[in-house]
Amino acid sequence: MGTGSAIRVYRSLLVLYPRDFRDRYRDDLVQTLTDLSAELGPRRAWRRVTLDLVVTAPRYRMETLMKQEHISTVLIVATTAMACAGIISLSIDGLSLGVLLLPLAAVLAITQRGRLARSMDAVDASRLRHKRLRIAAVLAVSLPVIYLVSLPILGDEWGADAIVAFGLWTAVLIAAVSYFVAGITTPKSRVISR
Amino acid sequence: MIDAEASPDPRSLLPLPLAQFHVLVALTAGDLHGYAVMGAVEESSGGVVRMGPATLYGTLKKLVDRDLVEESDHRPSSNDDERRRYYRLTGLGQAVCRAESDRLSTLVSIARSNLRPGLA
Repeated sequence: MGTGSAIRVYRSLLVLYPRDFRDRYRDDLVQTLTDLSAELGPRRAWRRVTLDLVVTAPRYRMETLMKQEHISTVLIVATTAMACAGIISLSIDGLSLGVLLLPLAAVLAITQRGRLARSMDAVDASRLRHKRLRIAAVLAVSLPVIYLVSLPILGDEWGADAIVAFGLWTAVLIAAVSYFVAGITTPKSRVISR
Repeated sequence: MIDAEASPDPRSLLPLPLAQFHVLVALTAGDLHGYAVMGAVEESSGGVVRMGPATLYGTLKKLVDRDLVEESDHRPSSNDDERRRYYRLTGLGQAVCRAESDRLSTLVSIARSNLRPGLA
């Protein structure tokens, strides 16, 4: 492969990186490949660049993804939905799906939210931390309210109303815990990501 | 008035990831462009640390975003390629590099002290 073709191929492979990274460093990356090819020879240069691409492209994509705040909302919704579905499944047809969904929701709520918060590297991390703790507080306050409101519909029988009320209460509890964990693990100031 | 937000305590940014520390150390020699940083890192590590282009620029991006490194307009020679971007340490970058060096130096001293000859 000639140098011109190699550069064209590498330039097109840069699409694997997040947009802001490739927009900012496209020319520098290509220039570095040219420099490496001149110093090491095309084959060794390509070997190094390919290995680098395989390692860094998914990593930078993941880092970009984890910095986007809406992903945390998606995670919370997913966790809550999974927990609700698990509880309803357990109530209606015994074990089966609920056994799978509830631990999965718990794992997501604890580990994934923690990792997500730690990887938050936003300049306005302090604002994000306060926002999450505020949401956790609102959700926590709403727990007894939901319980009191649902009391009249909870009878001795374990019917559909009780399942819905219990599912809602559990969902709010999981969301409150998730936001609290995310809030306290979000850095107070800017940090070096590892 | 000192703006605490603009000048964080260098020690609060420690420990540095290895790649970032290597790049900071390379830039202590002066303004360098990306490829020169790559070469300096390889040389200073005795060939152990070999960065690829994206690793290098990903590291530089993080350092620039954290105000440890900045782009430089200074050109060492007039016939240098205009398209090359040069980088240099900021004041905070120097302080962080010094703090990390001190931290590692202390660690090395402890290791050397504990691993005295004859104790193995």
